[in-house]
Amino acid sequence: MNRSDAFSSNNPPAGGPGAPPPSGVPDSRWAPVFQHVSEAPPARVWSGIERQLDLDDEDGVLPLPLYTASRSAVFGRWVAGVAAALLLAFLGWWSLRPEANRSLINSTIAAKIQSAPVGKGDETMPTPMTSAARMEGYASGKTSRSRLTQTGPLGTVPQGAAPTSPDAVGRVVVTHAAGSSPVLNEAEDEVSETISVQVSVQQTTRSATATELAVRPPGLTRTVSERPVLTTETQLAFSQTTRHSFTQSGSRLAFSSTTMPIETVVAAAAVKSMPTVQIDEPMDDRLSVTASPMAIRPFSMRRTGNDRIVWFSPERPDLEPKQKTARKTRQKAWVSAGMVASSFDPSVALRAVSGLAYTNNSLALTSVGNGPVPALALDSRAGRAIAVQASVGVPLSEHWTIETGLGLLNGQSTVQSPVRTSALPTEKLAALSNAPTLYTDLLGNSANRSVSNAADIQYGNATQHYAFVASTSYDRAVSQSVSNNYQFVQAPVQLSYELRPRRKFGLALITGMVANLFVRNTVAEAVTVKAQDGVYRPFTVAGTAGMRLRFRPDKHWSTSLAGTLQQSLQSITRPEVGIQSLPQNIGVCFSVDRHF
Amino acid sequence: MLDERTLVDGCRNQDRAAQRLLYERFAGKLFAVCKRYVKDPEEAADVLQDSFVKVFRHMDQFRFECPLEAWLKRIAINTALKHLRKKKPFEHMTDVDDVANFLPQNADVLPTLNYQYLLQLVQELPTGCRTVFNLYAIEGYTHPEISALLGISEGTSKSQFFRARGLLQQKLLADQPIRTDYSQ
Repeated sequence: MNRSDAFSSNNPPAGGPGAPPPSGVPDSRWAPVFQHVSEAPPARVWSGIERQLDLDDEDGVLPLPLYTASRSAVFGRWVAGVAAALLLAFLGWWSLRPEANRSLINSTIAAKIQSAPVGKGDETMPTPMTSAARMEGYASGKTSRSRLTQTGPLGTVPQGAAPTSPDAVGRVVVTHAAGSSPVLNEAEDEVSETISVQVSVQQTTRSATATELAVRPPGLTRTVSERPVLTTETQLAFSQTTRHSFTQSGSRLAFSSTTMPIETVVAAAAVKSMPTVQIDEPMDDRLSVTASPMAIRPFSMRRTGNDRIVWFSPERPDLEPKQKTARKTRQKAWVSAGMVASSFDPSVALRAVSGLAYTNNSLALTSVGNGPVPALALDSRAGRAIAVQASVGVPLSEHWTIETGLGLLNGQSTVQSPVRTSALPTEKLAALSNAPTLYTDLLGNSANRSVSNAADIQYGNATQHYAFVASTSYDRAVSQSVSNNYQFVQAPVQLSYELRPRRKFGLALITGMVANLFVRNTVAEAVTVKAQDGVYRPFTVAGTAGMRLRFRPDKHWSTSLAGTLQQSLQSITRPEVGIQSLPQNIGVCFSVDRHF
Repeated sequence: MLDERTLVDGCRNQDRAAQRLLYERFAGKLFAVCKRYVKDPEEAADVLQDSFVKVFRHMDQFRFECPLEAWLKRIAINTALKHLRKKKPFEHMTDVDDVANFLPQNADVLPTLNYQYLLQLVQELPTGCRTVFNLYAIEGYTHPEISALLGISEGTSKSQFFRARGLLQQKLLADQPIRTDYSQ
């Protein structure tokens, strides 16, 4: 034979799962007999292949620790961690947000006069002590509600109520069997429920005959009490495998469940170690495992090896190659309609503009009082925003998808601005709600045309620019909350990376740009500033990043929950305007998706 | 009939129709391969099923550097070897030098015998002999390659092969009076 016996190290195993290619020559007498032979396999093979391939799509556990330790996986884990941290921070902030939002809304109408001397204006802010008190009250409220829930009637066992050690189980069992007070604390109550389960399992075991039983399912149901038959010693042997089995006096019980919780096993072992459990004490409310004989199977006679169920499908699949299956369609585009609830912070601040000073160096900007004169400032506070959007996604590859869409954002915010000094002395406090402020004056004097529709707000025109502002004094100590209602048309272009493509629960990281088309800003619910007024840029760009969780129960429909962060990359006001604004938008988007 | 590249692309896209086409095109040949390595037909069917699942899951690793059929065969062989290794590791095989003297030299009668008879002869070999014989005589692996595949020494591979040939010759000689019944 002509064959080389030298194993070539330059001949690596090709094709991954396969063996390396042979480098020799087959036997010329034996090989021709076998090499081109074909035998029809059993029909069950294909159905088994289909089942195994289908199982690839049906797992619903999120792989938070990624499988491979490749460089992209490490990067993906890092990005996922950052995104998760952002999402958690936002959720925490959002949960504490309603009180702050309420106070903001109230302060929009009523003017706040700071009675404190100059330099102590920050006292209007909630103190840490106040926040801490709120937190404690909130936490205590949650705790009390939780306890009310936990101390309800028996019927469901909380998952976290399982005992963690046999000792703990034994202690509570003794307490319960001794007929302790029905007023138990939370932990005792939960554990007692678990113990009831254990006792019932033991009873079921004792009432089993010497034949084989199948207990299914191990669900917890409320049953009337039964007086069990006591036996002397029960040997229980649980195993944490796919089939939990234990023997008793030569009989065999086979639990058909494959997901028997470990708590039950541990608890059963604990019960075994306590022969003095008073299981014959009548108890009206008792949780037990419902046991019913299912089938008697000749286990010992069964042949080992192939015990699988053979599913035979007589029909042949459509061999048309152009027909697409469900898996193929997942590579197709999708459209989505959703709503975003978010926090909108325009981050308004004064901008240093040539010819206009905001400090006491300016002759025009003076302050009331004898103390040191602080710099004038605007305090921007976040408000709520709602956006509706429609988007479309086109997969670029298995993991990458490009997305775009169109949305309408309506964001509210407030700006604390110093009030014009001339409006202060003779006005009543209620009248200050519409008093002219530095913020409204700057907006009005920046406009190319007169927008002086409001009686109390004096705007200039383009020729005046800041002449009016420069000749007017504002009181730093008296600030007024000016409401803003922004409207943008948003056109995002995003790139998403699917961490789990083709899975029921998908996780994607999103990043991209958002084109913000300014529509209008309604200031103090009185004046509307539009894009053509020369204050705001008609087009600005923002960067966006986020993480999206997608649940896809159907091959055509899915729902998505995404946490997103948008940060404007440039001020939405024009450079010549004395105000700058870099909106930031942090929110949660819920959407319904249609896949083609 | 679809060409291999279209078929492979369809399988990479998890197109179930393409997967079924690929299965129907190559399942017969791969099942014959599996039966040469695994004696029990039911177990051979299991190996075939695992092989195709492996094929569909790793189709993206196929780079058209070799014929598709050869790649599929190697996967089937590897799966069969894993299956056999689970039952009894090949490392337990020992050298059987004494059968070298029993080596037959003339097997020209083989082409006149039909496949089923020869398959039966091969299947009746002990597992170690059968595996080495299949790899060496039919697949074309060298003894160093077989030793690397099975985790045995090169000498063990050679001796197992010689033993397999000896056993086959013995059976052929023993069945000689009735061999005409198996002739093609």
